[in-house]
Amino acid sequence: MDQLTGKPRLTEAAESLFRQIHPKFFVPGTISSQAFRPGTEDEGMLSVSRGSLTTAKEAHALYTGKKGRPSDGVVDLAVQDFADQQLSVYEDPETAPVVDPAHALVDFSALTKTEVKTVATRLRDKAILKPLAFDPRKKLEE
Amino acid sequence: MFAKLGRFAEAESYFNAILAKVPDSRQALFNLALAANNSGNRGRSVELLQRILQLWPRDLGASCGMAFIYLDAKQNRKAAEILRRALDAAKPDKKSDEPHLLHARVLLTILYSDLGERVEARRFADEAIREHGTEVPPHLMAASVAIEDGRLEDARMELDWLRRHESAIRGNRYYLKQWSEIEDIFSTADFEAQLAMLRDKKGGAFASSAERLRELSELKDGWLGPGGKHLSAQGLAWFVRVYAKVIIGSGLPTPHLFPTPEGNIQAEWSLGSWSVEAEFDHAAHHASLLAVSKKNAGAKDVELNLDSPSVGSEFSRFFDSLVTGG
Repeated sequence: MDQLTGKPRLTEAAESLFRQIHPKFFVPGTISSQAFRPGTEDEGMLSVSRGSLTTAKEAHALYTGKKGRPSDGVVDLAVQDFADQQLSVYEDPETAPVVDPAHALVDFSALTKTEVKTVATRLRDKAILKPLAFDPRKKLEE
Repeated sequence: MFAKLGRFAEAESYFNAILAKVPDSRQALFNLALAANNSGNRGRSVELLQRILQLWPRDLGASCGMAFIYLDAKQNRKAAEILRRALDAAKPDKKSDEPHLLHARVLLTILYSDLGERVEARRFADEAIREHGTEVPPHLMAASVAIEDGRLEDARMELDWLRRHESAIRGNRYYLKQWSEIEDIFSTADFEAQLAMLRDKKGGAFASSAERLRELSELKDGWLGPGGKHLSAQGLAWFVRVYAKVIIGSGLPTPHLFPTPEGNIQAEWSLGSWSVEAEFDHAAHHASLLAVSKKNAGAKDVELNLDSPSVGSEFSRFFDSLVTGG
């Protein structure tokens, strides 16, 4: 349990964490580093979904379905990838307005604006080395 | 006073009383014509203005009044003829005619613009600027005519004048509305012109950026879900000018372009062992550059004032330092 957030910290270094990518942050061949920064309303916390509790496909379905948000794909980073950037990840299961037990938060709150941008770029560079964990366009083609 | 308060019936009886004593009172005839027009009695208004023109054939105020009535009735040609006759006959040194001369020239610009007679519209817009350059309406009209002519640099010059005189415009709701409409039309026209320029640069090497910017121009407020400001045409046109100056000017490859939640643009490159991004802030005329090494913990960043005359070389120097390791 983390003293500041009051939430349990994820410790399994190999656990997958899924991040949804907004369509406007996708272009053929790359993803904007902005997709890996917390938004202005997120209070320095980046939302991800825990691979031990859901799949990339299910996380995408929940995000674009009940949560009503757009996503053009899901990338997969491990807890260790965030730890490499000195970032901790915390359990944050949601019960309302949508039940999402796999929801977790990456804590960027101690970083300056430039540090946030730098770390987000490193996470993006890591994420694009692997194929998407779930690509909704492929689902359409099948 | 009654007419100004919208009490047209009282205004009419007041001026009628004056006319009963002084049948040829120009002021009473003119004000009565205005009151009649404002209360919807256009026929009576024309009658009274014609009476003034019989007595004083070169009366500019009455000619402008007649022209406004014909303009309201969508008889633009007739309105223009009246005003041109009046202008030709006007005595340029008559001090009391100055406001009417201004109205006549501005009105002629509007009329010829509506009639599609571009040369005449420009002639009266130029004349109004030359003779009444310290007043707001000639600059509003000149900007509007220049946009219609596709003379965007001339329009930009007029809009710069209006921006410098913002305090004078803010006090007048009509000017403010017109100014805001012209700024919107100009921004759209300017964006289109800048996009066409970008599309044609270096044999179409940047056509994909032009295409992407067109796509981003269609974003609406809230595009990000919660938040995400739309990208204004003014901001996009400004960005394309900056793009030509610092990105093409530095010989950089075509970047990937992304919108930011604040309504700005972020350009991103993968250049060898560096990931580079530049966020362009339209409101602050400012760019934040960041390069992050893909191989080690290295990172560099710089903030640039895009209005600085040396911004092109500062931008180039940042990218050169990634190659040289400086």
